[in-house]
Amino acid sequence: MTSIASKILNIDRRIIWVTCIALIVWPLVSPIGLPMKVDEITRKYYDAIESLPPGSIVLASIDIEAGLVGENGAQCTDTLQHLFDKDIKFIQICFYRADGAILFENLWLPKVDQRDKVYGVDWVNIGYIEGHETAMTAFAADFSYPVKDYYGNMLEGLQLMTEVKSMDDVDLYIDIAAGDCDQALRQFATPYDVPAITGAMAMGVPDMIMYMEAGIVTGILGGLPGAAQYELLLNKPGAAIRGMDALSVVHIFLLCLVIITNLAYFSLRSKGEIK
Amino acid sequence: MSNILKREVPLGLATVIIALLFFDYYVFTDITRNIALSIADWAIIITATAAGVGVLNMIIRTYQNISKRAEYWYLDIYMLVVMVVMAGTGLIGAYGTHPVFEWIMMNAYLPIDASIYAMVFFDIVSSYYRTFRVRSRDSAILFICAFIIMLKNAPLTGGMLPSFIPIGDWMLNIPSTAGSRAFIIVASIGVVAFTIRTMLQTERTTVGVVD
Repeated sequence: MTSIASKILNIDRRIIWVTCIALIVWPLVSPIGLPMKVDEITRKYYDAIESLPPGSIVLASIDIEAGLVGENGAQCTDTLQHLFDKDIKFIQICFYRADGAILFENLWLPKVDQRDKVYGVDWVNIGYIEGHETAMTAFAADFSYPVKDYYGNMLEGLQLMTEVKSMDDVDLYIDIAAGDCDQALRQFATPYDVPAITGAMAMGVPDMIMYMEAGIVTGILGGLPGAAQYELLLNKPGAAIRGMDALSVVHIFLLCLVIITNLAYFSLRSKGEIK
Repeated sequence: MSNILKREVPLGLATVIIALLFFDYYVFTDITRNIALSIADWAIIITATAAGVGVLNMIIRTYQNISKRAEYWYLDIYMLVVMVVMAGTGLIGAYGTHPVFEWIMMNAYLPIDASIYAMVFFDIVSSYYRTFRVRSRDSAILFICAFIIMLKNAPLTGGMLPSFIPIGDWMLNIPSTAGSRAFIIVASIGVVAFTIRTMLQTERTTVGVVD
C-alpha cells in the first residue's frame, strides 16, 4: 500500500500529459454531447444583443491574440454571427493588439455567414489603432479620428461612418479582449452611458462580475463554457460545444487525480513517512 | 535654468494638463472637449514616437552586439532581418494587408503564439496536482474552493451534481468579487492620489526628485 501511495505521489508527469492529450482528442474525434446548463451571465449577454432592434449600432472590439483562440475564439465567431443574423450594424476596432485586427480578418470573418450584408453600409472594420486608452478617448468622441479603415478606405466615404459620429450614437459596446477591458469600459461605457457586454477568459470572470454588479457590464461570456452556452442559446452548435466535452473530461480527470494524490499523501503522512 | 527645464516645466505642464482633463471629464464643455481631444492626439503621437525611438535604440544595441560578436550574435542578425521584413511589408499599403506580412503572421507568428499558450497547459496540469495537496488549513480552503469551482464548471459534474452550481456561483459572486473589488478600489484610490499629488506638484519622483 505504501509503495503504491509513494508511486502515485511521484508519478511521472509525462504520463499525466499523455493521458490529458488522449482525453482531449477523444471527445473531439467522437463527441459525447454532455448536458450543459446556461449561466445567468451568458443569458444576459445573449439578451443584450437579442433585444436590439434591427439597424441598431454596435461598437465591437473583438481583440484577442492567437494564444487565446482556443478559449475565446468561439466567442468571437458566435458574436459576429449573432450580429449578422440580427441585422445589427457594427463597427469593429482593435485597441489592445495589432494581431487582433489580422485575426479578425483572417480567422473570424471567414467562419461566419455574412448573409447579404454590405461592407461600409452594414459593418466597418477599422482595424488596429495605436495609443491604448488615449486612443479610446479620442475615438469615443470622434469616430472619424482614425481617418482610414483596415483596408485603406477613407472613413468619410463609408455610409455607416457618416451615420455614426461618436459613442453617443452607439446602442451597445461589445468587448472581447479576454477580460482585459477595464480601460474600454472607462472610456466607452461609463462616460456615454452605453451598455456593455464582454467576452472574458474563464479566470477573468470574477473581475468582470464586479462591473456587472455595478451596472456597467450587462452580460459576460466566460471562456469556452460561456461560448458553449451561448451556442446553445443561439441554437447553433459549434466549436465551443465540441470543445466543452474535452474540457469536461479533462476536468474530471484532474479532479480524480487530485483526490487520489491527496489520499496517497494522507496515507503516507498517517504512517509518518512524510511530513 | 537646467533644473527649470528638467523639473519645473514638465511639472507645470502636468498640472495644467491634468487640471484640464479633470475639468473636461466632470464639467463637459465644447471648449474643454476640443482641448482634451488635442491633448489626446499629442499623447498618441508621443506614444508612437516613443515606440520609434525604442526601435532605433534596439537596432543600435543589436548592431553593437553583432559587431562585438557577443553571445548569440547570430540571433541578433535573425531578429534584425525579421524586424526589417515585418516593418517593411507592414508599412506597404494598409496595415496587415501585404501578402508577405499576412503570410508570416498567419503561418509563423500565430502558430508560435498559440503553441506557447498551449504548452502552458502542461505546466498548469503538473503544478495543479502537486499544489492542491492538503498540507495545512490554508491549502485545505484553497483545495475545497478550487474543487467546487471545477465541479461547477465541468458540464458533466454540473449536470450530475447540480447542488454544486449555486455554491460555485455564490463563491464567484460574493467572496471572489469582493476580493477583486477591494483590489480595484484600492488601486483606483492610489491612482487618484498620485494624480492629485502630481497636479499639486507634491509628487516629484516623476521628474527624478527623491525626498
